[in-house]
This record gives sequence, C-alpha cells and structure tokens, in this order.
Amino acid sequence: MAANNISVQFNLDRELTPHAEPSERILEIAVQAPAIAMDLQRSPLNLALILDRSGSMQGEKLEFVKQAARHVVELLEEKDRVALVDYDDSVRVLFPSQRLDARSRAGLLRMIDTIRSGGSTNLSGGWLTGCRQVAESSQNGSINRALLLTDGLANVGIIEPSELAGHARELAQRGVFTSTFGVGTGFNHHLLEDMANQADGRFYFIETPSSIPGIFENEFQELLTIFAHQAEVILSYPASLQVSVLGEWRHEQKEPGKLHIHVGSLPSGRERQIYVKVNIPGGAIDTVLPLQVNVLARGENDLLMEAQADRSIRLAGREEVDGAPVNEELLTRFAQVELADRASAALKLEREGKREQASALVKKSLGAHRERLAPGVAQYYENMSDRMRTGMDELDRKRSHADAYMHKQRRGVTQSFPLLPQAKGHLIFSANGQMILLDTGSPVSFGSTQKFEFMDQRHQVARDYMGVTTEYISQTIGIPIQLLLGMDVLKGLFFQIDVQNGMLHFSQDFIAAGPVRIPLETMLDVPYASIGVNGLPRKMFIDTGAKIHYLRKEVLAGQKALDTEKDFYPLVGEFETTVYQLKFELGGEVCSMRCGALPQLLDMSISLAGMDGILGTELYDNYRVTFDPRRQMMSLESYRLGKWS
Amino acid sequence: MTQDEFLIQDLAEETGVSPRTIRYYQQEGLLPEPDNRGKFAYYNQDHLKRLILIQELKKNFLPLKEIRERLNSLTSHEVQILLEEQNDRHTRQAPPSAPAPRIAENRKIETEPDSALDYITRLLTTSSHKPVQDPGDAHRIHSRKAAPQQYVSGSPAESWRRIFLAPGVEILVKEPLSPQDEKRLAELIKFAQKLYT
Repeated sequence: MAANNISVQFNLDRELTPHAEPSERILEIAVQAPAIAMDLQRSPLNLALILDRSGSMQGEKLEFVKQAARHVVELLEEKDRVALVDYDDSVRVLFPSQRLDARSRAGLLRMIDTIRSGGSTNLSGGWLTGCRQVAESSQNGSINRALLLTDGLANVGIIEPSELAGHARELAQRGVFTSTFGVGTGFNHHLLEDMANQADGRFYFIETPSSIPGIFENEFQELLTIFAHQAEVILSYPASLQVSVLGEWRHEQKEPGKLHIHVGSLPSGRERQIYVKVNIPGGAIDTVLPLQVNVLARGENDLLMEAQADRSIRLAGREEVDGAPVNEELLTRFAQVELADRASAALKLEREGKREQASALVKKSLGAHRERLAPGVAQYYENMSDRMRTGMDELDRKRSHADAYMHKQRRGVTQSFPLLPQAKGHLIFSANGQMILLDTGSPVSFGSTQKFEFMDQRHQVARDYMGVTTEYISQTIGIPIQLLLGMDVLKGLFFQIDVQNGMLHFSQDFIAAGPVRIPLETMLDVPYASIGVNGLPRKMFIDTGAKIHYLRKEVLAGQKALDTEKDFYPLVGEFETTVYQLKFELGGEVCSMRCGALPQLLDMSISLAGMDGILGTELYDNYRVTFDPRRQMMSLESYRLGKWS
Repeated sequence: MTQDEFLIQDLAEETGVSPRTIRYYQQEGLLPEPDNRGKFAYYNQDHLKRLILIQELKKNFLPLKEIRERLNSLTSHEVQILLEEQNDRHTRQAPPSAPAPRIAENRKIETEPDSALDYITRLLTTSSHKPVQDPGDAHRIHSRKAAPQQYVSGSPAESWRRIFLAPGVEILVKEPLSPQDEKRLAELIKFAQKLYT
C-alpha cells in the first residue's frame, strides 16, 4: 500500500484490569492523515454558501459576510462548483450550483452584492435548499459541503434542534456534509454544534464580524487540503463490554461488539483523537479481551485506505493490576477531553436555567480529574462552575461553549497571554510562571529550564544558542526572562501579535488571517519575506527579537539620516546606529517606519545569507500581525483602519 | 440476473459489511472481482460465503494479509466446508446471543436506500415532519432508551422558492415541484441568466 496512507495509533490507559469487580478502562484512538505536498491535484469542491440575511444581520455583519463570500469566490478554481443561497423567512437560490468560468464568476459576484437584510430566520429552509444544490451537483470524488452561516435562532420552518441534527446526520450518511458558522451572541450554539457534529463538519463561533472572512477562509483552506475523506473508525470488542464515546462524534452500533465512529474528513497532516470509555464487568482471571480498531477512509481518486491496530485487556488480580504501568500522558489528555465534554453538557443545563445542576456537574468532573490538570486549566473550570451558579451572560456562554467544543474533540489548543507593558519594544509574556521572550529571529528556543510545557505540549529546551543565554539577554534588556521562544516551537503554531490590545494569541488550530497577505520563506526555520523599501524589493528576516528595522549600509546609501539610536544585538553587543525614515511596502500596504543601519558584523552575516535586512518589532506598532507557518504566510491588519478595507 | 446473484447493496445487507468495505476487500484481493455486466456488478454465492468467512476470521483478529492468503488458496467448496466448521464452533462455544451467519439462498432484490436528493426533496415538500431519533446525547450506547419524541415544527405554510435573476427580477416557484418541472425550471434559469448577464 502507498506510503501516504492513513494511520492509526491505539492505546490503553492500562493493559490489565481487575477480574473480581467491574472496572473502567480508557481507549485512545488517534487517526492521522499524513502531510502531503500541496501541489498535488486537489479534488473539486462542491459547495453551497448559505447566508442568513434576516433583519438582525443588517449592517456590519452582512457586509463582512458578503466580503467573506467574495473572498471564497476568488479562491475557487474553474473545476469547482458553488451555489449561493440566502434566507430570511423565504429562501432564495441566488446562484444555482455551477462551475465557475469567468462569466459565471462575474454573475456570482454580482449576486453577492445584491444581498440585503430582511425578515425572520428560516434556517432549515435555507440549509436544506443549499444542501439540495450540493446534492444535485455531487460527483464522484467531489468534496460536498454546505456552509451554513447564521446569527439568529431558527424561527420559521423546522425549528426543533434535535430534528435538525437528525437530518444533518441523515444527509451526512448520504454524502452531503455541513459546517456551521454562528455569528455574535444571538444564535443557538448547541444547535449549530450538533448539526456540525452530526454532519461530519466543523462548528465555528464568530465573536466579531470582522473575523468572518478569515474564519470562512480557514474552513475553505481545510477543504482544499482534505486528504482522507469520511474517515470511519470501527472498534471491535467483546460484546460483554459496554463502551461510550466522548466528544460527541457521530457514532452508531450496527451490531453487538462493533462501534462505528465517524470522524469526518481530515486535512493533510491533521490528527483526530477519539476517547472511548470501556466498562468491563469482570470475569475469570487471565481472560484476554481482544480489541481491534479498523480505520477506513477514502483517499485520492476515491481509493480506499485502511489502517488497523490491535490491543487487548487482560483480567488480573488486584495486586498485579496495581503494579502494572499506567499511561499517565494518555490519562492527562483524557482528563481534558472528559472535562470539556462534561462542561459542554453542563452549559446546556445552564442555558435551560438549571444553574445549580450545571455548576455541580462541572465541579464533580473537576474533582475527579484535578490532579491531572495544569493549575490554569483547573482554575478555568473552577471559575466556569462559579459563573454557572450565578448565571452566565450570552457571550460567556458562547465563548465557554466554543472552548469546550475545541477541547472535547481535541481540535487544538488556543491560548492568549497579555504582553508585558513597557518592555521597550520586546515581546515578553508570562506563562506557567516563566517570563518568555518571543523571538522569531532565533531558530531554537533556549532557557534556564531544560523542559517546558507550552500549549499542552512538552518541549526540550537548549541551555543557549551559539553561546547566548537567557541570563545574558536579561542583563542586556534589563528585564529578567527565563525562556526565549524560538521558531522550533513557533513553527508548529499559529500566532498573532496584537500590540495595541496588549495580547499575544497562540493556536494549534487556526487564527483568522488579516486582509493583507505576505508569503514567507524560511532560512534555518527563520522566516523572511520580500518587502518593498522605497520602491525596491528587499529580502528581510522577520525578527521579533529586534526593536527597529535594519538594512545593510549599502542599501541605505544616499538616504537622509534622521536620528541615531542605541540598540543591542546578541554577539554584537550594544551599538549606536544611524536611523532613517523609509517607506515600507508590505503586500500592498504602504507604511513609513524607522530603519537603522546594520552594524558591520551583522551586515556581513546578513549579506552572506543573501538577505538585505531585518524587519523588527516596530511593525507591530502599526499592524496586528498573524503568522501562519503551516501555510508559510504572514498577514497584517492595519490599526489605522481598524477594519478590512 | 439469476436468482443466485446479488447487487453490492444486497450483499452488504446480507452480511452487514458496507459496500465500501466490500470494494476494499476486492481491491485488496480478498474477494474475487464480481461479474460486471452492463451498468451493474453481480455477486454470487461464492462471494457471499467468502465475505462471511472473512468476517468470521476477522473476529478471530486475524490480520487481513493472513486472511487473504488463507482464502485465496481455497476453492468454492472448501470455503463452504470451512464456513460450516466455523458455524459448528459457534453453536458449541458462542453465547446464544451471538447470531450464526445466515445465508439466504433466494433473496428478493431490494432498492437502494434513498439518495440525499430524495431525502431533501421529501423534507422540503412535506409539511408534517417525521420525528427522527435524537442523535445528541448518545453517551451510553447500551442504556440508551429510544424515547418517543414530540416535535413542534414550524408553520406548515405554503413553501415558495424564490429565484433571484437580477435586481427587480425574480421567479417564484411553489414547492413541491415534480422532477420534470425541476428540470424545466433549471432550463428556464439557465436561459434567464443568459439574458441578464
């Protein structure tokens, strides 16, 4: 079989279980799609954009939605099909599903412009009409998906959430999948999540209208890189056991001892982790209970891929069980998933007004797992439980629910940290009691501790990089830091630098990109980009460790000096540089910023690397900047406009 | 089609193995290719028996590679014998709840399950909605009760589809439409779009 196959890892918290009494074991099933080259020919998309134009969408929201739709149209190719449906109490097919040639593309863009807000919300009618467009145009190998966006409650047509979720499930079984996008605080998050879970799609909570285009784009990019279609995990186990699936994955039992779990479609390089609790009634000592996992998915050209893994549980005496090794790391992950799963259920209760019950549910689950949770995580749920008792506001509900959704399906951790103010242009934040300097200019992380945990992952850290230590840096910048976070860790994450709001955001999942895109390349993992300086293209390292921008002397020849400034650079030490005011052009954005001349030693090494300079942190005073190392892209959003242009 | 032949869907139903998996087994050489005549692929009793045997061997946690090696060396008759042996073992060892595989000699060909399109059309055209089983909180698979559910569905008002052509020009169509009228409508839209672009 091809090397590019789907793979599965199957693990148990313990391979032994007591024979004399009922017990519970935890299974972890991790399904991975390998990372494939992006230039492989992708499958044609068959999409329906289903947009809410009810009265409440009026204004900013609808404008951003239209912009998102236009952006998706730009990204589609001629082989793709798309339909456009909008709905209030009536449903309109603005653009019946068709291929996008130049002519139809222009027609579709015109249709998007005509969307105006209207009456109430016939969510079911809009959704089903969109699904029909997808179903009608479905072909072998096409990626069939309806993208349903709403900001309100279904109040016309089918309005019962469980019925809508049931239809979503039926349609997924028939090859039409749905992702859902909830905007603002007025929609029913349980409904939208259920629909996405049942339809093998993804649920998105969009808190601010300005992130609608970026979030739509993320879904779109995931669809483009789908490697394994409709992955299905089949767990076979002795029928005397009881199993339950966490994370609300769509699943069914077709016969005793056989559980089918649908994990949807996997983009290239992504993993899905499914946790299953197994209840074992006990039995004769030394009985071996065989467990098997089969994963089936469709790959390129509709070829079936299969992976298989076997494990077994042996019934043993109490003493032997207690002495057997325990997979602690698995149990830590499981604790997070189960807690999020319970929090999700509790949020439903809270929404129904059962506050005490909701609060107690979270507390109970927290009690069971506390010792395995990082202190921050335990505190998070502690606070949630408290807020449930007094009643939550709608935004709090939406945010907590979106977090729980991400955690229970382990779709990746997202964390935010406040930036240390007055750090003299350095990006410093505190996590797990350590002061950390964000430095995209360093290929490796180093610090005074050997290991550190960041974003749920443990990292090994070097003591220094080419003789530079965190002690040395602390001394030079006058702020004590324990860790320098370099590209070895950062390259696996999305991160956003938002200096104006004093925040750093990190995500294993995604962060919506800003409107101005700049492609990145890397040298020894350090990113660089082609930037226009006074009208000429220059290759510059993107270095969050440098304060201002720097260019080689040669490049600056003939420019009028503005000022001088003191700075330091590891290995070079402190130096004074002449400062110039130059016009930088970044992906079409023009911004006037200060730029120094590189000291001689750096000038030489930068020149040897074939570069012209360094883009420092002054960039972040002017733009909110999002890094997407996976797609090798950096995006900017100007603080001056505050909005998408 | 003779009485001893099946379409993939029947074979799937008979054995509880999905068509996807059946095709996979074929691709992996565990099952012989079906008889491809015209639009359909026909499977016979030998396919059925081999498929049941594969399932039996899988229950013993044999890897697919080994199952393939075993099966490929067997004649149709040997497959039958092995299957009977497996059945015997079942009746001797298995708890009564485990059903022995049944082989129906003469089965009526049933229609394929409805398509997504049929399903949606049915939903969009019926005003009273059939309750569906709650897929939501299916945590406990064994203890789950199939509680009957009541739905308060939206108004069974007339349903019109509005198709937008250009500013100020729309077509209104009353649902449901017959498949033939759907086709006509599609033609009409195509034509109208040419006029307005």
